[in-house]
Amino acid sequence: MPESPQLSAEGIVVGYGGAPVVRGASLSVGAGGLNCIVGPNGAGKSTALKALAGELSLDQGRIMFAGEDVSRLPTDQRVARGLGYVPQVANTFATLTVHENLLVGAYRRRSGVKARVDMVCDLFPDLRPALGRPAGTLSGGQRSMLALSRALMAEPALLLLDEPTAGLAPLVEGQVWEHILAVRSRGIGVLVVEQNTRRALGHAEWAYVMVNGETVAEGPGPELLGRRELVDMYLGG
Amino acid sequence: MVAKPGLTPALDVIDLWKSFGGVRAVQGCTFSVPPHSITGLVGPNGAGKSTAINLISGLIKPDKGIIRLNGQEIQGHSLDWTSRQGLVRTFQVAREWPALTVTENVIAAAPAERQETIWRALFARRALGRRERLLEERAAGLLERLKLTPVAHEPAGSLSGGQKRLLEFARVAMAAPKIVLLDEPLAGVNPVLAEELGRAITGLRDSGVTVVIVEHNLRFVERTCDNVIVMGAGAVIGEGTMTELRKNQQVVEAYLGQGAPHA
Amino acid sequence: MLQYFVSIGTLAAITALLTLGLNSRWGLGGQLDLGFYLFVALGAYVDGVLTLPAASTQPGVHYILGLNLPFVVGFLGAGIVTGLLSLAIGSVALRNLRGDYFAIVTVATTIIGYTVISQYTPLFNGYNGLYGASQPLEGVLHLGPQAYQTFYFGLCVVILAAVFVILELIRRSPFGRAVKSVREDEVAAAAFGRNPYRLRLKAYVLGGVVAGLGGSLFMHYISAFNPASWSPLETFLLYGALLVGGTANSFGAVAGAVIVLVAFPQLTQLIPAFGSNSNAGPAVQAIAIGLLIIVVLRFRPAGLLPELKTMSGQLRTRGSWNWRARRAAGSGES
Repeated sequence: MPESPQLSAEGIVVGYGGAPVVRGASLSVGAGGLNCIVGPNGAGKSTALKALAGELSLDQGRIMFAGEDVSRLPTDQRVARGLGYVPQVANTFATLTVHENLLVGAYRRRSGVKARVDMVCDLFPDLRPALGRPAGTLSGGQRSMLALSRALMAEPALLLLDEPTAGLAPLVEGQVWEHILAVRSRGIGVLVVEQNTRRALGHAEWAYVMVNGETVAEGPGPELLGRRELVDMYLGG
Repeated sequence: MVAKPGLTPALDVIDLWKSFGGVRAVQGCTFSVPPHSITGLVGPNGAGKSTAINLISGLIKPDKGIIRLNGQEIQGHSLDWTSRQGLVRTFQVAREWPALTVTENVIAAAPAERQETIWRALFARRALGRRERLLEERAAGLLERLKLTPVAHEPAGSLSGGQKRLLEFARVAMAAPKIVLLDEPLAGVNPVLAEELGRAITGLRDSGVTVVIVEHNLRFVERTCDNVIVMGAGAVIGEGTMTELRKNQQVVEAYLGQGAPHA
Repeated sequence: MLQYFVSIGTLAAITALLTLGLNSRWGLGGQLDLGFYLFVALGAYVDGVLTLPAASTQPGVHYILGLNLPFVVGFLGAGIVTGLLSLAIGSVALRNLRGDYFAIVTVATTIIGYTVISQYTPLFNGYNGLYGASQPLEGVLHLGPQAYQTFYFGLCVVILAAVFVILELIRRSPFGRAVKSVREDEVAAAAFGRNPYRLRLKAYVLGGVVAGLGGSLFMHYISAFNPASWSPLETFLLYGALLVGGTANSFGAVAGAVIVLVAFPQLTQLIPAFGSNSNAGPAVQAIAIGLLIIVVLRFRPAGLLPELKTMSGQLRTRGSWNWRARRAAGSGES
């Protein structure tokens, strides 16, 4: 359990109007760590992340970030406080250039934008030659990188990623994880919801397994991977 | 599960292929569904289950492959043609007809049998009237079993999500299909409703309909299905009971994903 | 004074008939047809060239046919021709086009039709149009002018009643229910064995036939028809009638036609003309109709006589079922 949690969800219940999808999940993420949420389909992982990001409102429970109760704040105000968010779909503007996409990410900042762009391009060198190209011409892996970079422009302390490898080929999956590790190495915390459980648990410093809307297990990623019950959590029994 | 010798499978899918702009959604998918059974079609996201259902029901056309319904080839035809052959499907989102009443929704799902023409509307009114009364009785009976009688005359659009799902079952039963494909019938459904839907599904099977369920809720699949087919990366990677499948390495890997390649 | 009401009544009956025809396409079929009036005009023209004597009898006048046939032939012929044309146009337009795209094609078709009719004089005498149409059954009845007008009014009412009954029978039949199911969700309709294209086409042709019959009655009411009598925008007035009266509902269609297209314009004529602008009258009329439509849609969005009420008496519009968003979402998820 992280000593000084930066982001925590306490007993959250989230739904889309019908039966709740997340039924009482609790998790906490420390500063600067690489954390994952895994679990079978329909477990409520993405829904929980959307609630953390502010896309969905809570039926019950609360969310704390940097010591503040942010449960009622909309996404843009959470971003302003340092909680970045990369949604699964529609995370880049296809008709804008790469550079313009990055500028949109820095929308709230008054100064230091150019320095920020340079920082991001240092982190992901492949971006620099592509700055003038429309984002829609990028490959899947490059677009994932751009979505990540765009979120970094707002200087987050913690980044929420919703299934960043969804729909990508296995080779590209590897590249995306390299990007995530690069971000982590800069001291920015990451909370990733992932479909590829084995891969995510291999990298995670701390992970949560969600089944049926609840957090049923937590621990260091590799340790969870070794647990025999993991298969049962996914395939019943 | 191989079909018992001598018994024609209700549904035969042979070497089905479908690509979308270079992405292979279904590749060499092959399986058989025994008649009068409840078969689960499971697999992780992106395995191609919904695409397979769309191909079988005629919503999209396959690039290659054969689909047989009770021995008759049905691939390449439209959704409405396939439905008229006795293969009915549902959708992940409830697709009721909102401005029609609940009863009208059920009656409008009954097989048309060439009665729905302008000519008959004007010149065969007595025969149509008799048929209408029979259909209304059948519909009332179905609604009663699903406890929808209180809303029988409400516009279907005003029903709750759960009621709409029950209505879908009434419509399916009314269509008197030979085989029905249910696309994630339990998505977003609370446990109580899931029980009712489970009963409706077994009821369908008991009345002679072959049922195929695409579902993520594996506990439900284990409880309800006679056999389970697992898809992964566009093809069938396992078949059998849930207990057998849990021991199948390929199946486990499909669900848990592959770890990072070793250096 | 009585003649005034007879005249207004005739106009009301014909307009109600046209609104019923549009209702078959929009209310029942759910098709946003913005070119409906083309078929009305064609009905009038076809009836004209069937019942008028040959064009050669009048100098400087050109039109096809001119067969001097009795009214009944003109009337039925108008319906048959517009029905066939609806079949031709609909079989192409309804195959793959939905919603807004279909609407645009109907507008284009009507504008093309309007332009061809106006410019290609040998067809229907271009801008001068057809005139001198006979009075149906005049030779048999030998009525004075006022008595004849009353007779014609009766004739139109009888035809309206007959069409009303036929359309209602169709609307309440299994066919009507199938068309409605396609309107509400065509994928679901197909999933239950209905052919959406065929059903939509039949509703479209049905509307076209009624339009043609109405056009024929118009021809003999005014006894003349030319491009000044109609414009592609006339369809919007019919939609106003349907929106006010209540879409999909035959009673609503008739009520809407009477209120919006007859009663209201007549009432606004009672407003004293102001200023020296002679266009003020029609302009005030148009404004008043527009305001009426806005007021009705604000307070009774389903129209005055809507298709459906819930048991609690709540009136519902199609918009509130979010059907459009659902259609856009498509089918066959992940």
